[in-house]
Amino acid sequence: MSAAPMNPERGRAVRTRIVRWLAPVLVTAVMTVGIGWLARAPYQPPGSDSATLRLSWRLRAPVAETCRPRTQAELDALPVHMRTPEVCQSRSAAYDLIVQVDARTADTSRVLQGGAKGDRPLFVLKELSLEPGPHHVRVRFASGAGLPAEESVVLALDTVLHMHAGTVDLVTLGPDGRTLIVRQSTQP
Amino acid sequence: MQPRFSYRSISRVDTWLNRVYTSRYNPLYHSGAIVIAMLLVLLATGLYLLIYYRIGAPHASVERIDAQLWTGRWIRGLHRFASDAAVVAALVHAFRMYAQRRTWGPRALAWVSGVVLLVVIMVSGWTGYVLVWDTHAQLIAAEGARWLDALPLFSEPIGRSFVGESDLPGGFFFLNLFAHIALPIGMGVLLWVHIARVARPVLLPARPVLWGSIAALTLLAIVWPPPMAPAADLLRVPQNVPVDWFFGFWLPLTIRLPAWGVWLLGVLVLALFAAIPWLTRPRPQELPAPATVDERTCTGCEQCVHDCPYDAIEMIARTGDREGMIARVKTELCTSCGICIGSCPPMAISALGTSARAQLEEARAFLAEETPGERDLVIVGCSWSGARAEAERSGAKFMSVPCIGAMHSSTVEILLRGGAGGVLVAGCPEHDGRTREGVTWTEERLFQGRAADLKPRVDRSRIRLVQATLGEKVLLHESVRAFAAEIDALADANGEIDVVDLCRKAQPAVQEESS
Repeated sequence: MSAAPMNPERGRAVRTRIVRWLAPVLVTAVMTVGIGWLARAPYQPPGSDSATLRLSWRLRAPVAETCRPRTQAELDALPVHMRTPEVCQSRSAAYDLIVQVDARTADTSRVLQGGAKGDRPLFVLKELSLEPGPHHVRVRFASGAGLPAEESVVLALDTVLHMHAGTVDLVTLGPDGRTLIVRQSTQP
Repeated sequence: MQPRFSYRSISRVDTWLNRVYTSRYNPLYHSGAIVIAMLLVLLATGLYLLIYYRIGAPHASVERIDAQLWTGRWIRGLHRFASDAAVVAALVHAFRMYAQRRTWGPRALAWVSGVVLLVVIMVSGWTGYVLVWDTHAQLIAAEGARWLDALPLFSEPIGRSFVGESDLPGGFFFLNLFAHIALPIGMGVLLWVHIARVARPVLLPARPVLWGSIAALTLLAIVWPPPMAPAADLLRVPQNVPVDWFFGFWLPLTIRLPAWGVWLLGVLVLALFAAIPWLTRPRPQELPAPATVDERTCTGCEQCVHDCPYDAIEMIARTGDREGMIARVKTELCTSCGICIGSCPPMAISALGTSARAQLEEARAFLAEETPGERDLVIVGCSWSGARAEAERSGAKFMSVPCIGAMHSSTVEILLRGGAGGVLVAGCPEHDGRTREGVTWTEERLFQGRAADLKPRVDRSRIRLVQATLGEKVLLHESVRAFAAEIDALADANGEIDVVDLCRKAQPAVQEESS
């Protein structure tokens, strides 16, 4: 049994119809896959080949307040509802942060209390990028009130950290709020 | 006004996509409406995700959604891909408006509100990604906190929340969820502003485009769902993060810049985008004047009010001794598109430095100079189309008009009465008109009796309207060739026509029309 020969005109029309249906489907598929790929293409952020030492804590530092009674002239100059007997000035303590890594000073900075008026808790937020491997890390957070060196230290850490690429070793306050501890990722 | 490089570029892409989808369903022509459609998809899929999302366990709850093979996984995928498609469509839409010089004047409001809308879509997207709290979210959140910390707003840096001292509080995710829901509500108001100056705004794309795009994205979400990145770990630098580049395209750049640099760059880019209406505004000497109405001739028929694509014409009561209504152009809303020239039966409107009466004069001058015969084809087109080039290529006569929408139907009648064998009107594709509805109204005026309609006495078989982009040279050429063959056949059938006699006959008819 032999198949009937196809009319060439009809064959062309059928092919044209198929192409007319197929072309939009293919172009839509390509555009859609493009969206799908651009919605997931991986990105390697910088810093993944080095280790990070992060120092972060928050402290409510003592505030020194000096008060004096108002003079009569000052009281008279004020509206009645604002005539408090004393005028006080508060001064917050400044602290010095010294970070040493492998006996090399990596960072020294003065830390003041936060807020526009300096009446907010002070905070430390530092990040140091280090080579992966063991490092001797020494952190001293000392009051800058002119006390003898050992008495002025409020927080200190002296330890050897085995640091890995792409990980963060966080130096922060321990649960007691008076010692520095190191935290590392618990995820595998 | 000659088309600029950007217009020629989109025209090339349009030409190619018109061949694939046809100009009726070219998705680029529906880009603005696609954004709205995608926002609706986001709303529907977002409602489902909201039911299963847990503020207390963000990543785990999204993982649970992703584990629902029959519903959650593809709905989450569709939610994400629809947001990507919305960004793409919004950018395409903006670029088209820029390329077609549809940004300045009264359209500045739409442009600026569009830029704000895009920013809101972006911010809304970022809050959505943070909600998942995976490594992608960690990158976005840390980067966003770094930017915010550069502003003198907070007593403590927000970045301290992401150092890993403790788990993030539920309040953080609640705030993000709130923003992720509230911002789209704000988008509704912005959308209303965006289309406020447009008459008959097209809010949804043609059905095949609408359902085709939703089906394609759904299929993508089923076959290739978005990956679940590992949960955020603030004590690790994220590795190989699957970034959604439609929302995170800036990451590789900003992550290397200081925070003030990011702000500076962001403000500059945004200011540049927002200033485009003023940067692209024609010079004062090139600025087309708003349309004007000749009060003596206006009959108060209201057709121009119905046709104006920007609601820039209103009817007011006549003053003086004549009663009735008269059209008045709201100059602050008029974009000088000229569509009203073609819509006015008594030819009372002038715009773009011309009027229907001036067009008739031009047509008469054209006939006197070119003296087209019964086998000659006259192509009428604007300088933004490929009509002139096609006329040179095919040996047809060419008559220029500012826009096909601004062409009065009587111009075609004059040309035919003046001896032309046929008139081929070359306009933009229907959904892509620079004057929005110009080509649609022209088609209805020529063939469907829309005022100012072509008189029934004119032989429609001698008129063609071809919709083609600047780049659709083949389509235009084929249409001209086929029409020329038809005109030849008509000439053969009718025998010789006395052209001079026809011209003589045309004069009284036009005078009658003008009166």
